[in-house]
Amino acid sequence: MRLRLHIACANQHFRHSQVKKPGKVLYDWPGPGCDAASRFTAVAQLGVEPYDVAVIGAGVIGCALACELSKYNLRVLLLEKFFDVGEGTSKGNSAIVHTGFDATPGSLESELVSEASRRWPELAVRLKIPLDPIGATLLAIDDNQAASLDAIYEKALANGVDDVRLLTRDEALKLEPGATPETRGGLLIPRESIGDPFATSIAYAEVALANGVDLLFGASLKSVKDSAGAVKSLVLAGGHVIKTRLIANVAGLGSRAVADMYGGAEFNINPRRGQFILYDKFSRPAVNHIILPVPTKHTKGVLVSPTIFGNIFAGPTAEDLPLGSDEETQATTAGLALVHAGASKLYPALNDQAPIGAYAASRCNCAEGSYIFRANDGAPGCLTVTGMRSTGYTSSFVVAERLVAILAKDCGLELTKKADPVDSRPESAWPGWHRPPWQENDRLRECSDYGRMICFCENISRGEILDALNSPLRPRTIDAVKRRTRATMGRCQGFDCAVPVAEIMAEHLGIPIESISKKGPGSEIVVPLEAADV
Amino acid sequence: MSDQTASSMLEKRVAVAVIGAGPAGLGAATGLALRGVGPILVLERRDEPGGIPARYKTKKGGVPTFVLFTRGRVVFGDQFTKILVNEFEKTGAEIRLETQVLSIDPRAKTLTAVSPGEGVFRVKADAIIMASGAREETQAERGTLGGARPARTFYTKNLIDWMDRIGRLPMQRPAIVGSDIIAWSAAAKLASMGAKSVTMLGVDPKPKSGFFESLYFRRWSNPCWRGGIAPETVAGLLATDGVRLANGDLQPADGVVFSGGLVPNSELGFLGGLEGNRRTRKLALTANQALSAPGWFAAGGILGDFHGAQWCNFNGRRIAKQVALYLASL
Repeated sequence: MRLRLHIACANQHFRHSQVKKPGKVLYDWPGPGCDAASRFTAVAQLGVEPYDVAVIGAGVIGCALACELSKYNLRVLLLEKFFDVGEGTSKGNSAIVHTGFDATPGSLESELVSEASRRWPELAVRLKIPLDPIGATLLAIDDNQAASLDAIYEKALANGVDDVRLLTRDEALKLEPGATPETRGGLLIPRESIGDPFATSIAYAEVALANGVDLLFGASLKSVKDSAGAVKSLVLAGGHVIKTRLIANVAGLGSRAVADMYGGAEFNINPRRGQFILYDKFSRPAVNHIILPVPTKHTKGVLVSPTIFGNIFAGPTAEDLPLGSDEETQATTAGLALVHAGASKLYPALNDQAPIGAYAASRCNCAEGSYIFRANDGAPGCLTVTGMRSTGYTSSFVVAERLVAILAKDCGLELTKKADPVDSRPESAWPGWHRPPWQENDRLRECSDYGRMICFCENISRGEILDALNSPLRPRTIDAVKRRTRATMGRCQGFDCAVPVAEIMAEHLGIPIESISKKGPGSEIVVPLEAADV
Repeated sequence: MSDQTASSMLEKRVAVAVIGAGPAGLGAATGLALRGVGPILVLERRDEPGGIPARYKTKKGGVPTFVLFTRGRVVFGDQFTKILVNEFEKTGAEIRLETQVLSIDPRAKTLTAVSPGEGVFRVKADAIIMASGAREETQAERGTLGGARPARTFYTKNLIDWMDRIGRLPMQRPAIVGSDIIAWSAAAKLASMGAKSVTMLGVDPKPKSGFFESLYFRRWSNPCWRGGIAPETVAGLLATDGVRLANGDLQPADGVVFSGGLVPNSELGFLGGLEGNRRTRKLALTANQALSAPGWFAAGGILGDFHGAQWCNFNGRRIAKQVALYLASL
């Protein structure tokens, strides 16, 4: 009975991707942690023809690029060393869709961000990714800051953000009653918006897959052979060799190591760590807009904002770390104290709210500048993309269009549009937390698992977890399921649902529960028996 | 919730709705039924009644952790639950399992719930008892940092799922953060299943738990106490390597248990507009455990702080009297 229900749930979703011939999703997964059908064992599984383009890195930029390339008649591979899309910098961002009001006017970053900002509402509806244009208030809290408001206003106009408005102290406090009484004045930026940090990469990758792009997870690139040749060989850590004509290096913090494999020119990455504190959902009414401090030369500063999920957060810090540091994703006591101090100075109401979690990630910050695109870098047919800093989430799809144009113009990529490429996700792809299935009587009647709650904090049902496992990228880790459903992400942080989610995964994938992992091999949720006996 | 769904929704009318069928909720429902109050509807989100104690299964060689003061015995959680469920079942009060309360409306005295069999429905009651229990403090709530968020960080509750339900010891050399009675019980349970060494960490110079509790649990384990230094960060990139202490030392471990430090499951109340302290998550109470809206009461673990299961059950029984008085005054 229960098995039949699973199939009902599965069929209702993602029918759409079966209409055309989708690409393959394979996991280079040592050990038993992955179902046999998804396991990568031989290059022949990917076909014999060389790829036209191999996109290295499935962060938000890599996924957007694969999505854009998939609209043309090309053989494209998206290669990722981790075991889900958006596992690096892309998972720890603030998910703010910037207008670019404070970018340096005339820079490439400003141009691409401001274009993307205008097109985001259309993109969100097409890809079924939530977007909430709640607007931002930038608050000046001392006289120096108040004096700089005019200059920020002029800069916003110069960046083409012409709907900004200066606020008096009273206007600012009326918009944000919880802001500090020290507020001297402010700036309203109506189009600053919040989105879902995870669903964006997932949506791009799902569209790319539907158009035939292949995805290989767990593929750690070891070297590039014949990098100057017409057909290059990507050598993976496991010894497999994949042939491709062009390489697009969008590996974020890994872009330096990849560029070294084909002799790319000099650039230096200083991972810039950002730490965040997340607050409970009952805190949401305390904040009306994204609340921004006056930016300094170094950073946009610690902001306070609602999340699209209905929480609020404060952050990020901006701490430069050496490349390759283990600390890139680690929250620290000192860092979180900075976040709290900065945020509560701007917004004292935060002191009464209950924190539920802290997280950190590092932006790809380059000493040589932002938005570095280098065609034929070191070798013909190699494209290096780096220095996306903190705005890559906003600009991703516009950057992707620009990169495809560069590949065509400078690297000889021939572009012929597919007759009828997929360019959207089906209605059913809206995330469950955004449109809870239990709100729709028909869906609940068809599949009672939508009424069987597993995650009690976020009200996530068994049906939604099964839908995530059946979704096109076939996520195979607890974190990947978490990013699609929000299970284990609520206030109790897995007290109730951590083990039940693992049990559902093991049952569905037909593998022992001991093999279920948090983020791939080596992160199994219990100590393997053989290791335990040593 | 959309208005369309709300208007077409099935509504149940009862005298008392009880949120949660743990020791407190079962006690309250039983107590009310014995006083002749009805109809009573108990809503339980899990697939069995009994709350947290029900997860602790009777096992040969296992560690009984639930104190029956009235009988002067320590029993396994499911044995304790059986007593409460038997009492409850005799009353004929109604219970719905796998039923999650989605939201409450304190002024209208209604709540909205969902279950696999019935979908979304509304309950209107003359009085509502919140008996949704407590959970263990998260890393953020304790001030311990997740680091790179490696695998193998657990709550005691997760350990019980692993050991009593799945029958698997999830780690061999655990570090337990916490030293209250729940932490001691976790150490004993891990040792009883064959954990090779157990270390207990805490910022306090001495373990929090009293002398007699630790004496009792020492029958199964003698954890190494490493106190006086704050456990700061979970170390490890993929899986847990240990716990980094505030002085920079690494306490090696193949898994970490965040144990005890109970936090009330009061969110439904705050989201619905009931008053209380949002940081401690304790709802505001009057002397007779009434909440800030008329007709709303709280019992058991949701009150905050550590309470044994039998205390919670007695507390539920006690609140039944208050609720009956309130109903008579309507």
